[in-house]
Amino acid sequence: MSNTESHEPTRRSFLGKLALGIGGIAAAGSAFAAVRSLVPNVLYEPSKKVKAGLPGFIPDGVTLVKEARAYVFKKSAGEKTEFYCMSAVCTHLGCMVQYVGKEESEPVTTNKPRVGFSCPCHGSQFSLDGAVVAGPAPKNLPWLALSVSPDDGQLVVDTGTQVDREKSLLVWDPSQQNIRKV
Amino acid sequence: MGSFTAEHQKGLAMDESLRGRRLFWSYLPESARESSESVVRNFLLHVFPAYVTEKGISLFSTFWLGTITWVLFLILTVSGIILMFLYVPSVERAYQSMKDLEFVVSYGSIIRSIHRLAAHGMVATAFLHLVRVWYTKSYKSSPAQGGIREVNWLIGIVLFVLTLALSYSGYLLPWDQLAYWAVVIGANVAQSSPFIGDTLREVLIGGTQIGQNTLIRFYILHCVALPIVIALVGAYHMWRIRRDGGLAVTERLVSEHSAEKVIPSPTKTYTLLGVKEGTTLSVKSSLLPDASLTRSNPDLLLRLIIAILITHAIVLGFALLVKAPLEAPANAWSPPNPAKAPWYFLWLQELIADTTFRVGSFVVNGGFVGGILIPTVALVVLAIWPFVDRSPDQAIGVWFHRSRWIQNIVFTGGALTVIALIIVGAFLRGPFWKFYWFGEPWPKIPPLF
Repeated sequence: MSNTESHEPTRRSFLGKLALGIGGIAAAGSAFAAVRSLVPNVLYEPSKKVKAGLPGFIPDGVTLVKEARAYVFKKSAGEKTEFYCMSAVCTHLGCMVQYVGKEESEPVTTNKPRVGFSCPCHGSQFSLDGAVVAGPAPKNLPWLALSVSPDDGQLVVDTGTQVDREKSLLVWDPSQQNIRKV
Repeated sequence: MGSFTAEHQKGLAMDESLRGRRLFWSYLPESARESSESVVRNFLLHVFPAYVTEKGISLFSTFWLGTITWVLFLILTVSGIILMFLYVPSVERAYQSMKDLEFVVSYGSIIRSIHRLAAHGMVATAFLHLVRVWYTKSYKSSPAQGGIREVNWLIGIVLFVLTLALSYSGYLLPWDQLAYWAVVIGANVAQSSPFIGDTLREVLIGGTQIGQNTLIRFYILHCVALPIVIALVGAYHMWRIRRDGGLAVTERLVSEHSAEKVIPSPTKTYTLLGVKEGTTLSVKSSLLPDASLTRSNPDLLLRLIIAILITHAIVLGFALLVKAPLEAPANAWSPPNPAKAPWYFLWLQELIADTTFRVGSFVVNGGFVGGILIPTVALVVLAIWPFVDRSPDQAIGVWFHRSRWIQNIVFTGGALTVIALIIVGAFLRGPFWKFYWFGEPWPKIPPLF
């Protein structure tokens, strides 16, 4: 194909290189298109904001909000009610951690933090506020942003927004419970 | 079939030149010449050499593990195609079609069980095949023989990884609890790889959440992409056996036989045992004395047919006894407790659960260490081992050669570690992946949701 006698380009060698170049570009282009087409541009996935119900109807303690894959905590103290929300997706490899705080079988020692959540897949353990206690989880469970929906007063969990611990408490006054549009 | 003997006698009387025209003549050769011609003229037989060594086809040289792996792949292909007619790869209907297979389709549960058991068996025989190659030093060629068996070792490792990928993508398809949580963990292991993790996960599951995109991707991988790749690479794997001059045990016979009288010839490259490049021995019908040789047809052929039939019979027998399990439908809110992978991934699951390490505030996820780093290092060590193995060429084709005792112990240690991790994962891990000794009762943990 190529002219070995001299380095002068001939018509034959030029056409040969041209053919190789065009063929190569076409092959690379098709390969790129094939791979790129598998990276989705539009995701038909559920919203990251999930309504968790009216604050007044959420029981005290820990409640799983399934659609958000998150636990909502409610603590009522007089006029004030505190909410915070924590992801239920294990930071290790994404299993759903299970609430085990109710189990009283293990004695609570003073120097050991109490286990609130355990992961069934690889045994990570988290305290009630999501800090890693034991197991392979590399990070604490993130706290998620909470808000009250302006249209119907439901508690809204935003799984796309992580918030700092202790700053995420939503103090909610029960006297304003009836402010809702129907 | 009654006229078979008559056909034969007719064949004997036939003109020599007409023999080749008979439809089934090659399967019952009557002479050495006819036997040799059969492998040249018959499409199915042409993959064989005309002659093989007695040693090469004896059971204790190889235990036929590679062949059995290939037979299991055939069984998987056939049963898999049948299952494709009966399975719908949609999140809504996948689990229902599994239920139909189990309870509605005639013999559906048996076909599914065959497919599952053959898949488990293929992982096991592929691993045992690798073990056999290690202990017999079949991953090396002596330079005098002109083969490069190291290449086939590398291809074999690729095939082993492909086999695991096929198994993984296969058990996702029922879309039960095992399937769903395996995807969750697999996708997050991929995500834990550095730099490309997020993209890798997105491409793998077709989005940020597991759903229909994920299922159809793994379906295509399992039914189309991976089988085609494994068939092509597997064919090359088998071709290379002849390219490298036959099995290692044959090479040993050749080098023992011709140790003194080798006269390298600059041009001749063919023997009937295999095709080689470079300066090898001069062309003869064989490099070996006739006493050590046997005809591929029928001796190898018959054994191959027996291997196919017995492998199938064993798989079918087990399939009648052991039903393929089906867990509850995929539940995105509640993993099984404990959630366990199939046995061939349990050692990885155990590693993943144990290998997160912290140095101060610096944390590396066990998903990366146990799920990617350690397996990759293990594969790389396996891959380069033949190139650093300095044991003498006399060890090639010999079980547990004296000169290799140290490396055999190292390898056995590695294999036993994997097996020990599998046992720990299978029997000693209870709810929340806590450690329970054999026989220690597990606490009853009610499913919360």
